[in-house]
Amino acid sequence: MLLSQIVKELTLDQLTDFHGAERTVGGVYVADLISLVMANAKQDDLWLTHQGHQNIVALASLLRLSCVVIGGGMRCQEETIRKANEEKISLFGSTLPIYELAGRLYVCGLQPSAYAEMD
Amino acid sequence: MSVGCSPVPMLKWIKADLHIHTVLSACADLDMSPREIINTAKLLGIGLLAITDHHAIDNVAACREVAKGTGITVLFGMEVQTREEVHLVCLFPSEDLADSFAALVAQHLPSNWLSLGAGEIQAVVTANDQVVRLDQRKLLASLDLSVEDVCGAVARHQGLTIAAHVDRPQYSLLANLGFVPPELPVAALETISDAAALHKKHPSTVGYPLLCSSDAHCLPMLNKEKYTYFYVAEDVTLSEIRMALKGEGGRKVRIEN
Repeated sequence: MLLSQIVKELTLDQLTDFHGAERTVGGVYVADLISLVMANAKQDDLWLTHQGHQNIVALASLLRLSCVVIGGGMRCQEETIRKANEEKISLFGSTLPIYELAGRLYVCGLQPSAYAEMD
Repeated sequence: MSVGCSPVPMLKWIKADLHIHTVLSACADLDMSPREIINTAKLLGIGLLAITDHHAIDNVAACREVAKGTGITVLFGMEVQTREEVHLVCLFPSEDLADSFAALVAQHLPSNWLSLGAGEIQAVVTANDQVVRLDQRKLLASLDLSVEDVCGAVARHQGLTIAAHVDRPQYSLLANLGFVPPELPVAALETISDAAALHKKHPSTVGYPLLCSSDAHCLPMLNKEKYTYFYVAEDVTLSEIRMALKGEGGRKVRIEN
């Protein structure tokens, strides 16, 4: 699914410049502990989190994630946004709880691979 | 004999524990009173302590009073929980600076105080282990400050920041933020791992001095397998610790069984 479609469907707030709107989102990973994301997220994943620390940018860049969505109305540090633009990582914000965001992503068709195979 | 030079102080190895909770931390046992802590430290030969309750410094002065005449130095400290739920041990050179930092922290705690759980007690006590008052605000909550904000504020108060228990799966710099943020001004990392294992698992930790502290919540926890030892002037101050962590002026630090 295209990142631009997801942004529209979930009415996400754009926190940075929009880098790679035509990029395909492969899957979703949800966590606030960055160590978990380091161990488990995959390339092209959308990372859904409450974490607004600048380390999210370095990791998103390293793992080549499609974007980071900071949910639950959590604030993101200015430094994080500056670094994200430097690294060309798209950051989005939302006041919706991340459970709601995850649910909407699921409905959009971004289901865990194990479930997709069952269909 | 040189003239105009300050005399070189006598340096010696001092056994240290820079992360200790008292009865002012809800998670600590009631036996963590100033008298019990200092007596236990004396028995264990610990010569340098930092009292580090969650977001409070009120019991440090009582511990310092009990330690008077024992040869044990007690530093002003506090354990802070950042917005990212990272725990940082913050040490200060004086009561005034620690007080000023505590006032800043109080402004950044949640305004809607959670109440303490059943059986949880946070007691401010005297050097005679008498309870002065019970703090009913739940002191352990995340501040509305990032790790960078806290490190900056500690530096402005002439203090030192140590990343607490970095090997824990939660409330730690490495679990929560994945790696040590580049250029974060932490003076040291508190760990129970040996240096080689830590560096292999977390390359971002290379270059930071390592400390082994107890994070004691009960008296038996003060008795550990490994301790931090500082080679510093007998009259230990925070600047001596700072020098040891930087390896300056002949001061040094090591962890030993």
